[in-house]
Amino acid sequence: MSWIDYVVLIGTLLAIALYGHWRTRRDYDLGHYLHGDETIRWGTIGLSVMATQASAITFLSTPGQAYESGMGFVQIYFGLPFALILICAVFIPIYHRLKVVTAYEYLGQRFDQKTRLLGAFLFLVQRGLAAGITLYAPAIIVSTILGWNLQLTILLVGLFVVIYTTAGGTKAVSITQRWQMTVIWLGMFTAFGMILYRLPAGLSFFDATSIAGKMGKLNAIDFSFDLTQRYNFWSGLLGGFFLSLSYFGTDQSQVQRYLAGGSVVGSRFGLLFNAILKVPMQFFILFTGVMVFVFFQFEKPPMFFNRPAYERVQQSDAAGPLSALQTRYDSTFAQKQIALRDLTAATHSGSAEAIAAAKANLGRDQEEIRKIRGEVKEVLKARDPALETKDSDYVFITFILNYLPHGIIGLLIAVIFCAATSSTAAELNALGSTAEVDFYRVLIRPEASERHYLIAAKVLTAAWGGVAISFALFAGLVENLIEAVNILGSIFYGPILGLFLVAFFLRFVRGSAAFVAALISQALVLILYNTTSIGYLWFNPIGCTAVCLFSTILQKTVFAAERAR
Amino acid sequence: MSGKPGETKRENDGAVPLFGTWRKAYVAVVAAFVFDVALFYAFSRYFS
Repeated sequence: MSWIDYVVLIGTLLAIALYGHWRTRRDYDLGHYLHGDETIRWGTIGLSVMATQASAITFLSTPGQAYESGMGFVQIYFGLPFALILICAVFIPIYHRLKVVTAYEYLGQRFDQKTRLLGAFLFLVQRGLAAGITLYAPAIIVSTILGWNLQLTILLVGLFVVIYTTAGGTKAVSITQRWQMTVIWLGMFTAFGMILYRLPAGLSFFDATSIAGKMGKLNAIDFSFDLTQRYNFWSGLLGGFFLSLSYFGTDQSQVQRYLAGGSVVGSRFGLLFNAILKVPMQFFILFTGVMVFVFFQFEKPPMFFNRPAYERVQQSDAAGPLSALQTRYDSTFAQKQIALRDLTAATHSGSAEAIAAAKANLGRDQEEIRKIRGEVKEVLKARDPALETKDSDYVFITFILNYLPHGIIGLLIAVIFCAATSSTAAELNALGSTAEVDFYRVLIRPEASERHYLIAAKVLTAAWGGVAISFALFAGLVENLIEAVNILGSIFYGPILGLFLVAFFLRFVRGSAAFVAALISQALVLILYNTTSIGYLWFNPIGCTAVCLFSTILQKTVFAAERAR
Repeated sequence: MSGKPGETKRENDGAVPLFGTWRKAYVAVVAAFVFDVALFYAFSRYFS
């Protein structure tokens, strides 16, 4: 990175944060701090919801995912539009009518305080840990590639977010997210344009897409019903529906975003904006990754994308085997160029036989390259057992740093940090608000002035910022951390969603039955997690269904005498 | 804000810009989703 990139990066991040601070400089009251005001319109809400969900990993990992496995990942978002419609129709009118600040306040009004505290507690545990990961995951990738100090990167980015989130609250978070999302889109469109520009002369967009398709990278939709397959149309529709319903309907980091404008129309339009744009947006990000894949068919990529890790191992006694593999890799890559040219010529000729023959040759070379990359990873792992050999997260950043002009590099690194800060800000805002509204006011100071609560909300937001930074600083000590937090989320999301669905749809169920059912369901999910090999995504529907079932049974039997509130 | 005495903000929220009713807005979202899936499927098939 040159000084121009640093100017673009630091200038973009600071300008957005300062603008957010300037726009909220006169908002001193608790209302603005916790739930914004009517100046936040549906467009800002829509971008804010989008920015909260899209963390830095979305822009680092998703193109890498497409590079490695094609576009099937887009199907995981297929349940999202339907979940958002349900939230618009059922959740939003209730949240607005009861004028709740946090989603868990609703549980208190519908059931009782203990159920509200349980819902809020489950949220704080899983979202508190996730906020640390949102900071850690991009920092480890960017600092590794750029040679920055990891701890310092986490500390600087973390403190930056904590300062503007604590100072400005919900309104500042929503306003800054609007501009962060604008920068993200500007950066991603620029990157896409640059990839097309950097493709070899004479290779049209049609040719590039044909190559991607014939190499199996455009497999966006798979209608086969196979439970063992991670991504297909049906698992995306059903699994994605439950995941999105839990995340958008009950996770305060999202609920706070769409309740920010104060009107049902604003909240609904903000969510419908995402219901329409989220699927094409993910398709575009994945397609960008596919175009990076096509680019690296003509420009020789490294055998292993995490170059600093590769070079570190290379300097040990692994230099010999790696050098032999590099020779094989170079020769296969040169051979593949011929197969690619043949395929393009065959596509232009339209001859099915020529296309099939060229595809077979290309497939053979591609398989050989895949084998060589596998062997490289084995060598690296043998020398450094702690090394993460999954290098797809480094694909897009390798392209950015090596093939884009200065200035654009700064913009793209700004995209990564805008995404990281926007998600973290929303998480801290939600954690601070939930801790203040659902715990501090209920358990510690039920009666106090607005000013007192405002200070408490700021202190708690900053405190959660401290927790997130500390967790991010020590995150490297835990093996497979990202997966661990995803598992943690899936374990807690099911029972939380179950509590809300019981509250909305099973009107005869009262507080004690819902509370005990949630505890039993949470225990059941934990037992299943520890004793079976069920895929963790299934814990969402299992936990949710268990709460609905147990609360009904308990209400009809043990708690039949409990009176309606 | 409320235009008539007694009109609440929620009642005012019933007016849906662009679509007229929320039902039509939800149908538009589903239609957009079906269009996306059909487009992605046709796109994948054409270039494979």
